[in-house]
Amino acid sequence: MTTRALVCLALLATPAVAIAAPKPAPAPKVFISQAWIRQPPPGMDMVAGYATLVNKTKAPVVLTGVVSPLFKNAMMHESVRHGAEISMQMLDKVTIAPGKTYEFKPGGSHLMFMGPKHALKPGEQVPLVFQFKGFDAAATAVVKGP
Amino acid sequence: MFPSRLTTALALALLLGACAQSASTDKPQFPHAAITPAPVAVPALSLENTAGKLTSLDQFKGKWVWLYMGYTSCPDVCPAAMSYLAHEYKLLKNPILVQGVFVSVDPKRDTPKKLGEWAHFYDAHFVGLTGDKTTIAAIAKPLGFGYSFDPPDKTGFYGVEHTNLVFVLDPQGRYVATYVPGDQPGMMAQDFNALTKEKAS
Repeated sequence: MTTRALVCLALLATPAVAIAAPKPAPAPKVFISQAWIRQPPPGMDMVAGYATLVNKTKAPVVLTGVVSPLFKNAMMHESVRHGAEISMQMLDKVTIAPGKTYEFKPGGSHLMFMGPKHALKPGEQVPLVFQFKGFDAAATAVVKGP
Repeated sequence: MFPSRLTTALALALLLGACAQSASTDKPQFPHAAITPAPVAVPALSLENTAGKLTSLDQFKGKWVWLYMGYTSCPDVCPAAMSYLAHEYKLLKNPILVQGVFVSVDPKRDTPKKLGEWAHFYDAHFVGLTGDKTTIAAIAKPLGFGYSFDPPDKTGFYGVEHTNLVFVLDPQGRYVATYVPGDQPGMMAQDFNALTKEKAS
Protein backbone atom coordinates (compact mmCIF):
# COMPACT_ATOMS: atom_id res chain seq x y z
CA MET A 1 0.00 0.00 0.00
CA THR A 2 2.78 2.30 0.83
CA THR A 3 4.31 1.82 -2.62
CA ARG A 4 0.96 2.37 -4.30
CA ALA A 5 0.44 5.51 -2.29
CA LEU A 6 3.83 6.78 -3.33
CA VAL A 7 3.09 6.06 -7.00
CA CYS A 8 -0.22 7.89 -6.70
CA LEU A 9 1.49 10.80 -5.07
CA ALA A 10 4.10 10.87 -7.79
CA LEU A 11 1.43 10.81 -10.49
CA LEU A 12 -0.46 13.59 -8.80
CA ALA A 13 2.70 15.61 -8.44
CA THR A 14 3.71 15.27 -12.10
CA PRO A 15 1.29 17.87 -13.54
CA ALA A 16 2.28 20.26 -10.78
CA VAL A 17 5.95 19.86 -11.71
CA ALA A 18 5.11 20.42 -15.38
CA ILE A 19 3.24 23.61 -14.55
CA ALA A 20 6.03 24.83 -12.31
CA ALA A 21 8.73 24.26 -14.97
CA PRO A 22 9.84 27.46 -16.71
CA LYS A 23 8.44 28.02 -20.17
CA PRO A 24 11.00 27.55 -22.93
CA ALA A 25 12.41 30.90 -24.12
CA PRO A 26 10.78 32.15 -27.31
CA ALA A 27 12.86 31.60 -30.42
CA PRO A 28 15.11 34.62 -31.03
CA LYS A 29 14.00 37.01 -33.73
CA VAL A 30 17.59 37.46 -34.81
CA PHE A 31 20.10 34.64 -34.40
CA ILE A 32 23.52 36.06 -33.55
CA SER A 33 26.62 33.87 -33.86
CA GLN A 34 30.40 34.08 -34.25
CA ALA A 35 30.58 37.32 -32.29
CA TRP A 36 34.17 38.30 -31.57
CA ILE A 37 36.26 41.32 -30.78
CA ARG A 38 39.83 41.79 -31.89
CA GLN A 39 42.10 42.32 -28.88
CA PRO A 40 43.22 45.95 -29.05
CA PRO A 41 46.95 46.73 -28.90
CA PRO A 42 48.01 48.37 -25.63
CA GLY A 43 46.86 51.93 -25.23
CA MET A 44 44.35 51.75 -28.10
CA ASP A 45 40.94 52.93 -27.09
CA MET A 46 39.09 51.59 -30.09
CA VAL A 47 38.67 48.14 -31.45
CA ALA A 48 36.63 46.34 -34.07
CA GLY A 49 34.10 43.60 -33.41
CA TYR A 50 32.39 41.19 -35.75
CA ALA A 51 29.31 38.94 -35.74
CA THR A 52 26.90 37.09 -38.00
CA LEU A 53 23.21 38.01 -37.73
CA VAL A 54 20.36 35.99 -39.20
CA ASN A 55 16.85 37.43 -39.38
CA LYS A 56 14.57 34.57 -38.28
CA THR A 57 11.36 36.58 -38.66
CA LYS A 58 9.05 37.00 -41.64
CA ALA A 59 9.59 40.77 -41.80
CA PRO A 60 12.66 42.98 -42.29
CA VAL A 61 14.50 43.93 -39.08
CA VAL A 62 16.41 47.17 -38.64
CA LEU A 63 19.58 47.24 -36.53
CA THR A 64 20.17 50.74 -35.20
CA GLY A 65 23.11 50.20 -32.87
CA VAL A 66 25.00 48.03 -30.43
CA VAL A 67 25.98 48.64 -26.81
CA SER A 68 28.23 46.89 -24.33
CA PRO A 69 28.76 47.54 -20.62
CA LEU A 70 32.51 47.10 -21.22
CA PHE A 71 32.77 50.05 -23.63
CA LYS A 72 31.82 53.70 -23.41
CA ASN A 73 30.51 53.83 -26.92
CA ALA A 74 30.00 51.73 -30.04
CA MET A 75 29.25 52.49 -33.66
CA MET A 76 28.62 50.57 -36.83
CA HIS A 77 31.06 51.17 -39.66
CA GLU A 78 31.68 49.89 -43.09
CA SER A 79 35.07 49.61 -44.77
CA VAL A 80 34.38 50.54 -48.38
CA ARG A 81 36.77 49.41 -51.09
CA HIS A 82 37.73 51.55 -54.06
CA GLY A 83 40.16 49.21 -55.82
CA ALA A 84 43.01 48.68 -53.35
CA GLU A 85 41.99 51.74 -51.31
CA ILE A 86 39.69 51.47 -48.34
CA SER A 87 37.68 54.15 -46.57
CA MET A 88 35.43 53.95 -43.54
CA GLN A 89 31.83 55.04 -43.49
CA MET A 90 29.46 55.19 -40.55
CA LEU A 91 26.32 53.10 -40.77
CA ASP A 92 23.21 54.60 -39.13
CA LYS A 93 21.24 51.42 -39.59
CA VAL A 94 21.41 48.00 -41.15
CA THR A 95 18.27 46.41 -42.59
CA ILE A 96 18.18 42.63 -42.79
CA ALA A 97 15.53 41.08 -45.04
CA PRO A 98 13.48 38.10 -43.76
CA GLY A 99 15.55 34.94 -43.57
CA LYS A 100 18.69 36.76 -44.68
CA THR A 101 22.13 36.84 -43.06
CA TYR A 102 24.19 39.96 -42.41
CA GLU A 103 27.87 39.66 -41.60
CA PHE A 104 30.06 42.09 -39.73
CA LYS A 105 33.46 40.82 -40.90
CA PRO A 106 37.06 42.06 -41.25
CA GLY A 107 37.47 44.40 -44.20
CA GLY A 108 33.71 44.92 -44.50
CA SER A 109 31.04 46.09 -42.09
CA HIS A 110 32.28 46.11 -38.52
CA LEU A 111 31.31 47.21 -35.05
CA MET A 112 33.64 49.86 -33.68
CA PHE A 113 33.91 49.85 -29.89
CA MET A 114 35.43 52.83 -28.15
CA GLY A 115 36.66 53.45 -24.61
CA PRO A 116 37.17 49.98 -23.13
CA LYS A 117 36.56 49.99 -19.35
CA HIS A 118 39.61 47.76 -18.89
CA ALA A 119 42.34 46.10 -20.99
CA LEU A 120 40.74 43.17 -22.81
CA LYS A 121 42.45 39.79 -22.79
CA PRO A 122 42.11 36.93 -25.30
CA GLY A 123 39.31 34.58 -24.30
CA GLU A 124 37.44 37.22 -22.32
CA GLN A 125 33.69 37.30 -22.89
CA VAL A 126 32.08 40.61 -23.72
CA PRO A 127 28.31 41.04 -23.34
CA LEU A 128 26.68 42.88 -26.24
CA VAL A 129 23.18 44.13 -26.89
CA PHE A 130 22.18 44.61 -30.51
CA GLN A 131 19.48 47.26 -30.67
CA PHE A 132 16.84 46.69 -33.31
CA LYS A 133 13.80 48.84 -34.02
CA GLY A 134 11.24 47.48 -31.53
CA PHE A 135 13.42 44.93 -29.73
CA ASP A 136 16.90 44.14 -28.43
CA ALA A 137 18.96 40.99 -28.92
CA ALA A 138 21.72 39.95 -26.54
CA ALA A 139 24.91 38.16 -27.52
CA THR A 140 28.34 37.40 -26.10
CA ALA A 141 31.49 38.21 -28.02
CA VAL A 142 34.82 36.50 -27.37
CA VAL A 143 38.05 38.49 -27.42
CA LYS A 144 40.58 37.03 -29.88
CA GLY A 145 44.32 37.73 -29.77
CA PRO A 146 46.21 39.24 -32.70
CA MET B 1 79.92 39.14 -96.05
CA PHE B 2 76.58 37.36 -95.81
CA PRO B 3 77.81 34.39 -93.72
CA SER B 4 79.58 36.82 -91.39
CA ARG B 5 76.41 38.89 -90.97
CA LEU B 6 74.50 35.68 -90.31
CA THR B 7 77.04 34.65 -87.69
CA THR B 8 76.76 38.05 -86.01
CA ALA B 9 72.97 37.85 -86.04
CA LEU B 10 73.09 34.33 -84.65
CA ALA B 11 75.55 35.34 -81.95
CA LEU B 12 73.38 38.32 -81.06
CA ALA B 13 70.29 36.13 -80.90
CA LEU B 14 72.08 33.67 -78.65
CA LEU B 15 73.33 36.50 -76.45
CA LEU B 16 69.87 38.02 -76.17
CA GLY B 17 68.47 34.60 -75.38
CA ALA B 18 71.05 34.09 -72.67
CA CYS B 19 70.32 37.55 -71.24
CA ALA B 20 66.58 36.87 -71.25
CA GLN B 21 67.15 33.56 -69.51
CA SER B 22 69.47 35.18 -67.01
CA ALA B 23 66.93 37.94 -66.35
CA SER B 24 64.15 35.43 -65.81
CA THR B 25 66.19 33.38 -63.35
CA ASP B 26 67.45 36.50 -61.53
CA LYS B 27 63.96 37.89 -61.15
CA PRO B 28 62.47 36.91 -57.79
CA GLN B 29 59.47 34.66 -58.09
CA PHE B 30 56.39 35.46 -56.05
CA PRO B 31 53.66 33.15 -57.36
CA HIS B 32 51.02 34.69 -55.08
CA ALA B 33 51.93 38.36 -55.48
CA ALA B 34 51.35 41.14 -57.99
CA ILE B 35 54.81 41.91 -59.36
CA THR B 36 55.93 45.36 -60.51
CA PRO B 37 56.99 45.46 -64.20
CA ALA B 38 60.44 46.56 -62.98
CA PRO B 39 61.94 47.18 -59.51
CA VAL B 40 61.00 50.67 -58.27
CA ALA B 41 63.40 52.79 -56.21
CA VAL B 42 62.04 53.99 -52.86
CA PRO B 43 63.71 57.12 -51.44
CA ALA B 44 65.85 56.60 -48.33
CA LEU B 45 64.36 59.53 -46.46
CA SER B 46 64.58 60.19 -42.73
CA LEU B 47 61.88 58.50 -40.68
CA GLU B 48 61.39 58.50 -36.95
CA ASN B 49 61.61 55.10 -35.28
CA THR B 50 59.79 54.00 -32.14
CA ALA B 51 62.65 55.24 -29.96
CA GLY B 52 62.16 58.70 -31.46
CA LYS B 53 65.47 58.42 -33.39
CA LEU B 54 65.91 59.22 -37.07
CA THR B 55 66.48 56.35 -39.45
CA SER B 56 65.41 55.33 -42.97
CA LEU B 57 64.22 52.31 -44.95
CA ASP B 58 67.86 51.95 -46.06
CA GLN B 59 68.74 50.38 -42.72
CA PHE B 60 66.95 47.19 -43.84
CA LYS B 61 69.06 46.72 -46.99
CA GLY B 62 70.18 43.10 -47.22
CA LYS B 63 66.78 41.88 -46.02
CA TRP B 64 63.42 41.56 -47.69
CA VAL B 65 61.01 44.15 -46.29
CA TRP B 66 57.29 43.62 -45.80
CA LEU B 67 56.04 47.17 -45.68
CA TYR B 68 52.53 48.08 -44.58
CA MET B 69 51.35 51.67 -44.37
CA GLY B 70 48.37 52.85 -42.34
CA TYR B 71 47.53 54.38 -38.96
CA THR B 72 47.18 52.87 -35.50
CA SER B 73 43.71 54.35 -34.83
CA CYS B 74 42.45 52.25 -37.75
CA PRO B 75 40.06 49.81 -36.06
CA ASP B 76 39.44 47.26 -38.79
CA VAL B 77 41.70 47.10 -41.82
CA CYS B 78 45.18 47.85 -40.35
CA PRO B 79 44.89 45.45 -37.38
CA ALA B 80 43.63 42.74 -39.76
CA ALA B 81 46.57 43.39 -42.12
CA MET B 82 49.15 43.39 -39.31
CA SER B 83 47.63 40.25 -37.85
CA TYR B 84 47.92 38.64 -41.31
CA LEU B 85 51.56 39.72 -41.61
CA ALA B 86 52.36 38.39 -38.13
CA HIS B 87 50.86 35.01 -39.01
CA GLU B 88 52.79 34.85 -42.29
CA TYR B 89 55.98 35.89 -40.49
CA LYS B 90 55.57 33.05 -37.97
CA LEU B 91 55.46 30.58 -40.88
CA LEU B 92 58.85 31.72 -42.26
CA LYS B 93 61.70 29.23 -42.13
CA ASN B 94 64.29 32.02 -42.31
CA PRO B 95 62.60 34.97 -40.59
CA ILE B 96 65.96 36.68 -40.17
CA LEU B 97 65.89 37.43 -43.92
CA VAL B 98 62.62 39.37 -43.65
CA GLN B 99 61.81 42.59 -41.82
CA GLY B 100 58.22 43.61 -41.06
CA VAL B 101 57.82 47.40 -41.18
CA PHE B 102 54.78 49.52 -40.40
CA VAL B 103 54.87 53.13 -41.57
CA SER B 104 52.24 55.39 -40.05
CA VAL B 105 50.83 58.12 -42.27
CA ASP B 106 49.29 59.75 -39.18
CA PRO B 107 52.22 61.18 -37.16
CA LYS B 108 49.81 63.58 -35.42
CA ARG B 109 48.28 60.74 -33.40
CA ASP B 110 50.98 58.11 -33.75
CA THR B 111 53.74 59.08 -31.37
CA PRO B 112 56.90 56.91 -31.47
CA LYS B 113 55.92 55.24 -28.18
CA LYS B 114 52.40 54.43 -29.37
CA LEU B 115 53.71 53.23 -32.72
CA GLY B 116 56.27 50.94 -31.04
CA GLU B 117 53.70 49.35 -28.74
CA TRP B 118 51.34 48.90 -31.65
CA ALA B 119 53.86 47.26 -34.02
CA HIS B 120 55.36 45.01 -31.32
CA PHE B 121 51.89 43.89 -30.27
CA TYR B 122 51.65 42.01 -33.57
CA ASP B 123 55.24 40.72 -33.58
CA ALA B 124 58.21 41.66 -31.44
CA HIS B 125 60.39 41.72 -34.60
CA PHE B 126 58.25 44.29 -36.42
CA VAL B 127 59.20 47.95 -36.38
CA GLY B 128 57.09 51.08 -36.57
CA LEU B 129 58.23 54.22 -38.38
CA THR B 130 56.71 57.57 -39.21
CA GLY B 131 57.76 60.92 -40.60
CA ASP B 132 56.57 64.36 -41.53
CA LYS B 133 53.93 64.94 -44.19
CA THR B 134 56.43 65.58 -47.01
CA THR B 135 58.51 62.50 -46.23
CA ILE B 136 55.47 60.22 -46.04
CA ALA B 137 54.19 61.59 -49.35
CA ALA B 138 57.59 61.04 -51.00
CA ILE B 139 57.71 57.41 -49.84
CA ALA B 140 54.07 56.79 -50.78
CA LYS B 141 54.47 58.10 -54.33
CA PRO B 142 56.72 55.42 -55.91
CA LEU B 143 54.65 52.73 -54.16
CA GLY B 144 51.43 54.11 -55.62
CA PHE B 145 50.11 54.24 -52.05
CA GLY B 146 47.09 56.53 -51.83
CA TYR B 147 45.77 58.09 -48.63
CA SER B 148 43.54 60.93 -47.52
CA PHE B 149 42.27 62.13 -44.17
CA ASP B 150 38.53 62.16 -43.47
CA PRO B 151 37.03 65.17 -41.68
CA PRO B 152 36.78 64.59 -37.90
CA ASP B 153 33.43 63.39 -36.51
CA LYS B 154 31.73 64.97 -33.48
CA THR B 155 34.05 63.08 -31.11
CA GLY B 156 37.13 64.40 -32.95
CA PHE B 157 37.95 61.01 -34.44
CA TYR B 158 39.01 60.94 -38.06
CA GLY B 159 39.58 57.98 -40.30
CA VAL B 160 42.20 57.78 -43.01
CA GLU B 161 41.31 56.37 -46.38
CA HIS B 162 44.29 54.36 -47.59
CA THR B 163 45.59 51.62 -49.84
CA ASN B 164 45.44 48.22 -48.18
CA LEU B 165 48.43 46.35 -49.61
CA VAL B 166 51.65 44.84 -48.31
CA PHE B 167 54.59 46.22 -50.32
CA VAL B 168 57.61 43.98 -50.76
CA LEU B 169 61.01 45.68 -50.97
CA ASP B 170 63.91 43.55 -52.18
CA PRO B 171 67.26 43.39 -50.34
CA GLN B 172 68.38 46.40 -52.44
CA GLY B 173 65.47 48.39 -51.00
CA ARG B 174 63.49 48.44 -54.26
CA TYR B 175 59.73 47.93 -54.43
CA VAL B 176 59.12 44.68 -56.36
CA ALA B 177 55.73 43.20 -55.43
CA THR B 178 52.48 43.54 -53.46
CA TYR B 179 50.32 41.13 -51.53
CA VAL B 180 46.68 41.63 -50.57
CA PRO B 181 46.41 41.22 -46.78
CA GLY B 182 44.29 38.26 -45.77
CA ASP B 183 44.19 36.92 -49.30
CA GLN B 184 45.46 33.33 -49.62
CA PRO B 185 46.63 32.81 -46.02
CA GLY B 186 49.99 31.08 -45.75
CA MET B 187 50.92 31.70 -49.39
CA MET B 188 53.05 34.78 -48.75
CA ALA B 189 55.17 32.77 -46.31
CA GLN B 190 55.28 29.93 -48.84
CA ASP B 191 56.61 32.29 -51.55
CA PHE B 192 59.31 33.62 -49.25
CA ASN B 193 60.25 30.19 -47.94
CA ALA B 194 60.80 29.06 -51.55
CA LEU B 195 62.71 32.25 -52.36
CA THR B 196 65.03 32.17 -49.37
CA LYS B 197 65.61 28.42 -49.82
CA GLU B 198 66.78 29.05 -53.39
CA LYS B 199 69.04 31.82 -52.13
CA ALA B 200 70.52 29.63 -49.42
CA SER B 201 71.29 26.73 -51.81
